[in-house]
Amino acid sequence: MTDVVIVGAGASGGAAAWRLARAGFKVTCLEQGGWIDPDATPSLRPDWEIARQTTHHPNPNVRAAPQDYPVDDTEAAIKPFLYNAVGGSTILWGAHFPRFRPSDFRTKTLDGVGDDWPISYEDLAPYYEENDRMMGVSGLAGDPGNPPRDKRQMPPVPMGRAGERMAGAFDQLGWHWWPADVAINTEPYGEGRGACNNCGPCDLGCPHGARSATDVSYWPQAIAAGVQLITGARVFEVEIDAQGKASGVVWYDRQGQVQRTRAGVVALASNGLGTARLMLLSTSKRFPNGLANDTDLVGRRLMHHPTGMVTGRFLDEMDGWAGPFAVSILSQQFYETDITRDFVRGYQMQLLRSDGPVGTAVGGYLPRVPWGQGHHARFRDVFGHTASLTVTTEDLPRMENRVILSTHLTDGDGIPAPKMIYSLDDNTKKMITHGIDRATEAFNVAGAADIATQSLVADAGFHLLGTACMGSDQATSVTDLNSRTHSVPNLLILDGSVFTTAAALNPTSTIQALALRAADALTRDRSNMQVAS
Amino acid sequence: MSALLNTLIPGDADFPTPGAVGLHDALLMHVRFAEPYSKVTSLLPKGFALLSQEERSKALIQIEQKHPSIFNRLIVGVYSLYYTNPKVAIIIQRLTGHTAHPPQPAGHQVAPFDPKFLSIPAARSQLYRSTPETDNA
Repeated sequence: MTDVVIVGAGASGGAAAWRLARAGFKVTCLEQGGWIDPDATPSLRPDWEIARQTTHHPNPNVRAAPQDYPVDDTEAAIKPFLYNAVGGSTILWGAHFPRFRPSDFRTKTLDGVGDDWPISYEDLAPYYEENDRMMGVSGLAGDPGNPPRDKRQMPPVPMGRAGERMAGAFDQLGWHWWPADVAINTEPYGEGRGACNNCGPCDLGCPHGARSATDVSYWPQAIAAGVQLITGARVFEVEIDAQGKASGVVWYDRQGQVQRTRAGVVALASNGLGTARLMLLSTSKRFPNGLANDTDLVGRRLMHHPTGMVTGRFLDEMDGWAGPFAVSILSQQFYETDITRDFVRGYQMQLLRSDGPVGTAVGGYLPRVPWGQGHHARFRDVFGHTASLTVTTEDLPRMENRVILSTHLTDGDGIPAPKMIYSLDDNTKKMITHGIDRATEAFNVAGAADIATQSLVADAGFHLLGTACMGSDQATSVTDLNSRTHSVPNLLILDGSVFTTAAALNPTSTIQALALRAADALTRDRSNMQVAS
Repeated sequence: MSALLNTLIPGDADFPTPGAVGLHDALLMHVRFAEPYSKVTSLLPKGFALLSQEERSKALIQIEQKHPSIFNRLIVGVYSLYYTNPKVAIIIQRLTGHTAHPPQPAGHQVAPFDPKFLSIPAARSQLYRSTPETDNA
């Protein structure tokens, strides 16, 4: 018997485990993946770019590792990106680490769309600070696009040639830009973690521990605080007692044997896909449609950050393979609602560097280099000469965008896979169109020789949000403001599933701040906590 | 089988053909790429190697149109193995400066962030919207 069992050792699971253990809880965490050996990172090998296309591909359907579960994406415009390991998807992320803006928590009040969160930016601000300290953030105070906040732990990452070029273009246009907040060490920071050496492919892991992930930030401290972390543990059911309280979880170990962990509190931290899947799998007489799913909201309101992409090719070298690939500078000029536009809410433009030779040839930021005559001429034109702006939009919640259980796909243990059903609405499409036009304008001002656009990057399902949303009304939400489900008082949702709305910003710092806040609320209410009999 | 690979990447004054760097064997031995290579190879018309470059391209376009998924997987395999081949990597280093070595452990040299760039953006006025809570904070 443990006080709290956490399912998932990723961004939120690591943060909550550390916080709860330090508060005196006996914590067990179950993770279906294993530890990642930093010395085994593919970026130490000549075939590192092959790993990106195969064993370290962010799409679990392509990667198909034993610890992965497949995702039925046949009815989804955006494909899943996630990782299963200690560290979760922070193992392969770009470490962009912005905070949400105050208005992101009040879309209904300010703009009449979505729903207001039951908490505010101000409620989360101290947890953002604490989380920054744990993860380590490089960046710079003084951004007029965001509320004042404490100094970051380290100075910003290098802008690179493309960053300098695009910053000049934004200045000419009179648009906001600022160095990105990133969870990458520009100086040694944390326990045994070195400084970034600008190798480029952060998504393949970081042998120096410079790019933060919870396996090198939270987990060493969580384990030191007494957390029992069990890897190779694939949870397939949350059990409840006769009163409908969570009593523990059932899981397969690496040998395929069924194991059971009883707990006073069950906390799900398996991302907006995995958590919804587990809740839908956990049916009972009390919850025939899935755990805590009286309102049929579990799995619904799935939100991503639909992303358009504009890539400029310059005649001079940009050396975009150098520096953290996903982070440099960003512009939030078009972030807030403007009634003169034909859409509500807004988007961020984030400058990406570029790719290695394989990535350039196979395509991603740019269309694939065509095979056949002229192949190498085109390769020479584009390799090292490009930079890209993402148009990362806010995705308003819709009931029809959802996660359900697949009727035909299963994982290696025979557990039904999740299925994503997802499409874009007109507001989002208008936002992307507007953003592509603006990003094109910026590249033109920057002197790009030619510009390529993608109206939707399909391989961009890295932010899985909203499938067990937080709210104050039990009829229209799954959890309360402390991430506790309305109908199962000792069941917590710690990951991005609880997002009421998605904002247009990378969510990890907000996910972790919410997890820390949920842990503190549990600690505060410990004496009154209702647990299984 | 070099005819297939050399049609996909013909090579030029700087770059060798895939056949010249042993890509055929590399593909056959690769755990993920051998299958699409064999499948596309089985779809080639008889006498493919004897066709002109233009005729070979036309034949491959037809296969690509009829079997886009398997052809796409082959292209990913061919490009992946070709551009990570040490002989090709050395040429890219000579032409562009991109190191032929893995990105780690040495990394790359990039000029550190210079605050001088911020004089204009730092002078802008508040760009985020206030809420009732921010007004009261």
